[in-house]
Amino acid sequence: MKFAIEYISKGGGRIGRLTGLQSQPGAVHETPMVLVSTVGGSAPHLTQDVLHLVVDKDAPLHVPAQHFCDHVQVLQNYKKGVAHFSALQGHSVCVSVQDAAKATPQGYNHKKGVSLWTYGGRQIITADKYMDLMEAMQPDWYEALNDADPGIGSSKKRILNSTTSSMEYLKQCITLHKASQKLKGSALFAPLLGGRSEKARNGWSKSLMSTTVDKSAISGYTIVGLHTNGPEVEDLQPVNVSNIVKASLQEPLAAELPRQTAGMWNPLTVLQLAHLGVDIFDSTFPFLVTERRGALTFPFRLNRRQNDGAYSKGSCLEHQNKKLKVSEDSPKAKAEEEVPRQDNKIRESEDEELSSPYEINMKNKSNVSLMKPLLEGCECYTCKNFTRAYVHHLTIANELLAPVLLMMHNLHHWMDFFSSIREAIKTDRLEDLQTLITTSVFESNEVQSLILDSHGTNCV
Amino acid sequence: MATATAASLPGASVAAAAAVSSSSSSPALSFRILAECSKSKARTSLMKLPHYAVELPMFMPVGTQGTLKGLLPEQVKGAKAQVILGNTYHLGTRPGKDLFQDFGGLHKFMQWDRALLTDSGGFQMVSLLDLAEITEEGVKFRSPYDGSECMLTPEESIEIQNAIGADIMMQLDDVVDVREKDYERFKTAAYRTTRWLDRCIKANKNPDRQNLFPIIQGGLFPDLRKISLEQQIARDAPGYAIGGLSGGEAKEKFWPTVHLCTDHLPKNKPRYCMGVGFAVDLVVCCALGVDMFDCVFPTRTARFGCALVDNGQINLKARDFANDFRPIDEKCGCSTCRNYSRAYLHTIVTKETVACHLLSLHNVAYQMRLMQSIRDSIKKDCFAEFVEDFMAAYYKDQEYPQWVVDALAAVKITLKKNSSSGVTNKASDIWDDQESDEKLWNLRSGFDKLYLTGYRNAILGDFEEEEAAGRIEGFETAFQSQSKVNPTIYLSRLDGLLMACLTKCKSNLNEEQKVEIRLIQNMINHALKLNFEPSKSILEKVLKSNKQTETRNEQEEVRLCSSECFVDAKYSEDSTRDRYKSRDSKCGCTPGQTDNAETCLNEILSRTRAVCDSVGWKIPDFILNHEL
Repeated sequence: MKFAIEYISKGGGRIGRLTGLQSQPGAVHETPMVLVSTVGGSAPHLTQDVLHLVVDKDAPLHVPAQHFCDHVQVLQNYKKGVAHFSALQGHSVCVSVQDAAKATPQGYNHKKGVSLWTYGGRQIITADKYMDLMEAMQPDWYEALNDADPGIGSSKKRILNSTTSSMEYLKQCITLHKASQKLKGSALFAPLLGGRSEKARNGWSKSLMSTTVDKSAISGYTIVGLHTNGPEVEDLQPVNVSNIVKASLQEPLAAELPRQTAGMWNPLTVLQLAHLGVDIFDSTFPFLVTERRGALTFPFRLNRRQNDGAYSKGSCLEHQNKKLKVSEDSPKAKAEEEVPRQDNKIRESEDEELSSPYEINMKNKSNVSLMKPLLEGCECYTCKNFTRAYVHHLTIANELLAPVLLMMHNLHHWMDFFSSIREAIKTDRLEDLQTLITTSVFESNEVQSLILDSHGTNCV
Repeated sequence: MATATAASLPGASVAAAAAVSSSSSSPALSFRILAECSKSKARTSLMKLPHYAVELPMFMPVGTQGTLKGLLPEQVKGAKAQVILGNTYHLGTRPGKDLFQDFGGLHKFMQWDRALLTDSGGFQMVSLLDLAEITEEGVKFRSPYDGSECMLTPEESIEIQNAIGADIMMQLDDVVDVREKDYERFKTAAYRTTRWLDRCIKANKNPDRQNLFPIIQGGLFPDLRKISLEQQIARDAPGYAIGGLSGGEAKEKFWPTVHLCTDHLPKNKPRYCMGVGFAVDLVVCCALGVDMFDCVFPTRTARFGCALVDNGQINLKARDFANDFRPIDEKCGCSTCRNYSRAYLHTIVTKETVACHLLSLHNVAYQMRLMQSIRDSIKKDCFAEFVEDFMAAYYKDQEYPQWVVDALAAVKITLKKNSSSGVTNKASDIWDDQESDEKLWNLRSGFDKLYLTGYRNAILGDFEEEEAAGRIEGFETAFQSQSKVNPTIYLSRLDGLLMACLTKCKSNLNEEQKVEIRLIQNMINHALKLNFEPSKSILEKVLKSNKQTETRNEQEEVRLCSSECFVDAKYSEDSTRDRYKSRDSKCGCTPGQTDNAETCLNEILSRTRAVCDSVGWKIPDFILNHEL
């Protein structure tokens, strides 16, 4: 794997080129980029042919080791690696330890190994076993085994334990990696750890650069331990992660290597991470939005305005109303506002299971007869072919096609979002993009509260 | 001009009659026979519908709610489907006919540009019968969605179907459960169906672009079928359906009914046998002269991890496939077989929706390929040979079921005796197994088969309403709401798993066995979750009703007895026949039956406890804290 930084923006963020992957010698991937998250080797809900309606046939995949540690023997017999096994040959593969879409139960890691949760239950995996699995999976790059367990509020001792054992795993992985013929073409990424302590994070990064670690074997970094995976990650706002990520990435860590972080980062946090120089992300966010039957609609195009409410006053997302969602533009939804205030409570509880300000909820009845696509102007397969009414019908009927169509749209939207990020970095406008998203989210919130207020006073 | 002169000649009327006999046309449908089998009644034909020209015989996959189980329209086309079936009952309830009017029909709504067929909503009556009341006016039922009282009349059914805009609509018919024994009920249904047909015809607003097919009723009574045939044919429709079958009737009664109907139905019109979809049934019915079929089976079985192949189906959950890097079927050209291996599918079946999509696609493609082979063989006039080869492959190492031999003999296709009759019970074939009950008793012999038996019953149980809820919910709700479900089947299936596990635990464990144990543990875990609680509640329900009412339902009695026998069977090495005998004898004695059922439950509970202890797995509290 080769990684070259092409451009460092004055406005934050950097553009890189990822090349020389063993499975795709000719492919060039520009960063910041998205990996297609997978479950059991397939993009969630999407068969190979359908996936290729959304992403390029060489789009890199993110495969958690967790999903295949029950199938080491099969992959060993198969010999052609996990991408080929999953009928996604042509795609390059990055393997991480844990699945970013599922919350990792805490407190199961100890000195013997790291707990991975499979369909079959829990497996404790040692560095040896992990490297056997890597040889069988044949990834283009992979994360060294690590114990990134400590959650919010972990004690210093727990963080120390985690870094101590992770350092041990890293050294073992490096030794095994260098000795392995099969992993010659694979790149090893070292984890960046330290829980939520800036000091511990910086300390870990320093230790990576010390003489005890064989740096020549490390081709990149994965920032882990910021969260314990699953849907809760989307609640982490830029301010929550900014300093700890900075602490990991600051001197003396080698700046020229690619940096990756997995998880369901919300768009604004993604922008913040990109701003800090993170290069590789995944598609957990669109996947989990699909799981709750949301359709992403947040705007991200700087040159053309997608949303009516464009100009902003503030950028304070702390106070965002998570229940903004009664579908901004539907006349029906507004009509609903006419009902007395008491009803708001009921409606709010309906909306509770939702959601983020970045999406519309397809379970919402306001979609029932809408002939327009999920997002006007969207070029994805779903939006070009189907109406909101149809997707809503499928959602309500609990049909399998609902998540298929939503996943197609959301993945497409996410991919486009990242091309917009790259564009913004190249033109030094990353902050404009942050403003655009913040304001559109904030604006519609404000509109929402205005509607509520006016009707509230009317009722009185 | 040529026809005008020809008409005056005496010979021409014969020619004209011959032309009529092989083709017909109505405003929205033209039908032309392309070739006929020289032996049987099989034929291949071209049916032009407003949205698509369809080659017959064909199979129509069922897309109940305006979608075919997670497949995009272009994937369905890729599998070569020509017509998709939609359910009026479901679509009329949700999203409703008003929406279809706004959208200009289902074709646009679901982006399907080939043909559509909608049923009338009448079939759902059978599955909702405890909620529904049938009167001359129509069917009154309680909406399962909001509990409101609804009336489905022939007029209403057609109004909805007009809004949906399918190429072929079905009349509302009076559906009677085919296992019902009352002759008078069938007689009423047959006559009423024709009266309703007249109302449907009158109500149809789009005869120029939507065909309305009458349905032949009459149960398994030849005289009633003949009356129904005569009446319905007199209405001169563009095509006809044979209804009221595929409801679990004996195959020996099924095929003669189809045979009778195709004998009388006009030759120059398409014939549609509703609800038929197992490969053998398709082949036999084609030989009997049927042109169209539909069934939920291919997509439903996909959800259980089963893929259709030439000798039945394979369950990809089976560990045999873990290292099988071949496609499901090397001869199949579907996108699943072109890209995916059995080994990969094995890792994700019944776990990821992708597996369900892949298997649905393959299964639909399999049905289409089967129908294509049938059409090709008729064109080449080697249909009889095709049938022989097909049956030989399907019943490899098995004897042919008598009904298949009889049905084919009736249309002059003789099946040569299958030589190797020694081997029976092939694991992949769970559909045409005549003695599934026997399998049930051989619990300790092979729990894999038992596992399949459980699936088989769940699938054949046809829980229409639960379909959308998915496999898990389907199991659970079905167990809870369908009083017909015999809990012993599930209990014994579970018990089989436990037994197998217990046996394994006794020996010294090597690595492979440990993996095996872990797998079984998970299966137990899963099975308990899926089966135990609902089954228990059914048992309790049964017991409660037994305590409350003096007059006992005969069915329930048998059920209880069979659960009791099933306990007996555990500890006796008797032959199956003796077990049946013991059941017979015990069915006579009614007192103490509740005790027996309780014993059964307790037996299983204690065995569960023993096994769970032995594998170190904690039993959920609800299982141990049962109260009867």
